[in-house]
Amino acid sequence: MPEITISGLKLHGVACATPKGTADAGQLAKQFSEDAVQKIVKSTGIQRRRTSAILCTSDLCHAAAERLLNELGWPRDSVTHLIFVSQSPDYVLPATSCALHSRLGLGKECSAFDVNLGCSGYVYGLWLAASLLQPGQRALLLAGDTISRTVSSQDRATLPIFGDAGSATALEKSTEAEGREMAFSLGTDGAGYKHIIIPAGGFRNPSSELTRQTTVREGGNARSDEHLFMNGAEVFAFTLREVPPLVERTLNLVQWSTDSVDAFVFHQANRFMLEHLAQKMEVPSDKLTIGLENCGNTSSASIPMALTTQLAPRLRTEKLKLLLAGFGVGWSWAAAAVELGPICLPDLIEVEDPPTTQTTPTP
Amino acid sequence: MSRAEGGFTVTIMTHQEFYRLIDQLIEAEPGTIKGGVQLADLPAWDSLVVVGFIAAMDKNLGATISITKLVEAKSVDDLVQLVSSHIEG
Repeated sequence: MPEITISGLKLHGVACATPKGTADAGQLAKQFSEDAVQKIVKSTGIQRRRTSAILCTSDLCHAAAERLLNELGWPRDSVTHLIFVSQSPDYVLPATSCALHSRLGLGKECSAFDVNLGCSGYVYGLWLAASLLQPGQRALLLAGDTISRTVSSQDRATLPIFGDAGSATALEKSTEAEGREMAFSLGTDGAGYKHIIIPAGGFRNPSSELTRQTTVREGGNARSDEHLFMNGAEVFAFTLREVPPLVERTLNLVQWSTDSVDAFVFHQANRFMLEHLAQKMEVPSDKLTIGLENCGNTSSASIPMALTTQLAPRLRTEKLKLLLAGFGVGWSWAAAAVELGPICLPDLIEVEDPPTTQTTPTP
Repeated sequence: MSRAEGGFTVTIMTHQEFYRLIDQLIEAEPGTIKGGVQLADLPAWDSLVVVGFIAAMDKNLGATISITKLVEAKSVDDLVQLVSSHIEG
């Protein structure tokens, strides 16, 4: 299991953006029974999600990055690494990071690449940025997803859960000894690849009439092979197996006790799972950050979203010891022990749908 | 309750305690669940309850369940089999 401590880092700020459009859990009663919706909300803790049928992850990350760069006063050509973590890119190719590099007006002396990860993606992105940075360099980590656009409207296992969001995180390697340490622990169990999957639409199973056909599947849920499938029981069993040891190892890296951590910020999968994990790991409920009631599970943006919606007042003024952990699709997992704050943390940005549908520009 | 086994402590519960736990999970009258009941006859046994069952076994018994076997379970007796080393009496 890769474990590493990287020093001299300065995390300057985090910004998040969601679509302005809201999908309320009450609207789900049209597809599913009132009783079923109440049970789902009680378990997931998700009352409403931010969704858009038009906005791309890049649009949300762009809005977040613009705000963050402006608030920090970073010249565009001072960014030396742009990392875009997402499972919902703009195009099959080129990399969305290249398109974002242009939209943000960054300089040519800048690496830019995409990473296809979800639940674990934010922490992976932090680890990558921290690993790549040389003294004096700056990285922009853009992480997010529009998973709401991948779910079937007739699938109770996914529709009520996923919302859309994009995030931007500004990280710098200090030239002096004034930066801080970040400790990372990462892991993979590819045997779980089939439990959270969109099976068709890629190169293994190209899109066809058959793959676009919606049929009734397990539990009465209907979807096509181009919709997201999630096996909730397998996901839950996986998190019980891997997350407690992941958190323990990461705390051991920095020799922090559970008590000394100010907040545990886990991937915001659903409330039931987070509360059960916290109880299993003996994390006091007042240290467990839960921020999905008004936005849902936002995949790789869920950790920065939780920082923005739940911890902003403290992170703007105080220094906090945080244990971040992402886990899921892959199976892939990663945790980081970081001291953050005071940092630049703008209020959640709301992005309106553009007036006309954006189409793919063709040369 | 617990019993020592090969240097480890195994948490155990009786069949009745196990049945009452599932009654609570599906929000049914106590006594609804007993040996011989088929899961297909329980409308409340859905994917959310399945996740609740995994959590309850983890929390109450420290038991890790095979999801493949759980998905294949047809009856309450099959559920007992999943955690049989934790059920006595």
